Amino acid sequence: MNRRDILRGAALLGGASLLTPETVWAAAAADWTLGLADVEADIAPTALTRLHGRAPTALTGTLFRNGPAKFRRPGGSVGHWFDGDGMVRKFQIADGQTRMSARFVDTVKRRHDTAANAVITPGFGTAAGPGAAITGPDDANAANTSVLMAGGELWALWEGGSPTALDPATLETRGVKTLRPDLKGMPFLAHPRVQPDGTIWNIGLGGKQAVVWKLAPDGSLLKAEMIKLPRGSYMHDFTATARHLVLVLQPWVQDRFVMPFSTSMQWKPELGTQVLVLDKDDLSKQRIFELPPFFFFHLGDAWEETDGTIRFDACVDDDPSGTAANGGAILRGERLRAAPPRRALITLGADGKGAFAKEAISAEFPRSDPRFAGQVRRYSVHVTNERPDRPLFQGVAVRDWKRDTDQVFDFGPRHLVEETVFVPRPGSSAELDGWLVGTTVNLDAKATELHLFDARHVQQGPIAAWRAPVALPVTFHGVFVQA
Amino acid sequence: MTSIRAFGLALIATAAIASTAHAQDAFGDLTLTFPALASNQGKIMIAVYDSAQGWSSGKPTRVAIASASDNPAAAKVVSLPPGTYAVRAFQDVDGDGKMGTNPFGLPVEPYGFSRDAAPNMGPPTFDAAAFTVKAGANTQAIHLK
Repeated sequence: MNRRDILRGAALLGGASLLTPETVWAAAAADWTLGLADVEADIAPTALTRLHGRAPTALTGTLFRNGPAKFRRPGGSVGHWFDGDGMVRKFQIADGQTRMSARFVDTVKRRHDTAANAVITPGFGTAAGPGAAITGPDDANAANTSVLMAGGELWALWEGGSPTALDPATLETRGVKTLRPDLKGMPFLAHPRVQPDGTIWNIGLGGKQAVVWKLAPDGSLLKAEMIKLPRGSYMHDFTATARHLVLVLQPWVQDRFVMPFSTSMQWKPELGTQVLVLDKDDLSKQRIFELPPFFFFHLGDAWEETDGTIRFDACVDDDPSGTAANGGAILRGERLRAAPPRRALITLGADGKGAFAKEAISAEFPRSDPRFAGQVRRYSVHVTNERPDRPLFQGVAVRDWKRDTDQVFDFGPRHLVEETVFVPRPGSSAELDGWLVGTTVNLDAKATELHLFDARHVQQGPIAAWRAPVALPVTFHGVFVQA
Repeated sequence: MTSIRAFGLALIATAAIASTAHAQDAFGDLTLTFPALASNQGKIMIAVYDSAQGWSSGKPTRVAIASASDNPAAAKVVSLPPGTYAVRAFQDVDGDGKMGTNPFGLPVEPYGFSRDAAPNMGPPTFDAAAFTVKAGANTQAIHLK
């Protein structure tokens, strides 16, 4: 059912009131809520049923994805989508077969909430319940946002606390990572930036201060340095060129520290957006750019052109009234009063001037060829939702910045489309020579599906797909680890 | 937290008070034990408070030191006037005389409170950690985490 059909239907009924997209969401079968349902137990390794196509023989490896999978308990539920317990999914592709398993991260939060039979742990949109005793951020760590492979360990990431180490073979939780004893409990964003050589950069945010993390590919700490920020913005993601760290400071600023955490922030569009660019080799070398006000969760990898111009894509909203503010409503199958984010290209000129170009296409979960991270690049991959009559996403897009074109594959309204990652063809070197790998929730089959695309021809649709015996709620972020 | 020198001076003062007390049975002795330590490194720095005001302003009435390598790790605070007290302690694993914190102020060395009172977004209140010292022998076990 699309918006046009419904509006036509309303006109035919002669109704005086115009059905808005928001009303349509509530009125239509809210079966998209399958993407936000609770999982009660780990999923033991199981084969997926092949639906069509064949996995290319060169595509061998494991897709790990993370996302919240337990939201509601008898004594009390989370107040926000971001506060569900993290569950890591593993999709192993080998010899044309796919196997899946999924396991909850064994966090202090999950143990406390399970024992209380209620969500008592505070979070982004959840107040503390009776009996909550938080001694530090890792007591509230939901370990639910993303994953990172480092030195043979799989880390489950959550922006308010430490990474949580898992065994990548069994998905068993090994425990919270302390990268250095005096840095115990320092936060680690769920969006590290990994250079093509495997060096890992990340930020840990604390109001107007941050720690800059630099790790070796094996996860060992190379450097941890404190920096001051010109404002205490909420920052879910940052980006980087080969030479710089790029911190986008939106005007959703923290003016106190309270739980639920999202109530600590105030929207102040009059401040505009600032972008802080730091030299990776000397964090005291800083530049600030001014942009119009916008709200964002996610950015693409940045690049620097020969004349010093820095560019990167971003998925932007006009303000936080969408997911950030209404992540509780979505768990109740209620309407979200906002359009999906749209793609924007941000330019930071060598002359110190910033430019912000917002596009018409909706966009979230931006990814690109990891071999070109921080380098001049041509392509972005993201999800889209051009039908505003249903939340979550329905299509996969590949943006060609050089030719100014978009290729889109639309799964249609019966799929919830999740982040799709690029996997390079082994032995190739050209950008985007490889595949896109991503999951959807098929609302008709009531099952999670895995889809492969030829990355250069996404509009032709998946070249192969498999279906799981269960539907798991939508995930946020993941990585593909080649075998 | 005070430095090692201050703790040393306070220990001497405590011993002096003990030796001059003549009505020993009007006072209480408090033995503090620290079971199940994760590490046996360093000294356990102990502060005893006799009021909520002292507790929240960081002004202990007595201080003591235990050695984490002793088995059991314990310290005795003698000749306390009977009444209500609360204790906080930390294990100075790196031996710098201070409670270690990360750059955002979170403690990174093991710490604990009497009655194993639970911190919650900050230290527990005096009342949550408070216990009664009576004349004669008293014991409190604190599990440092």
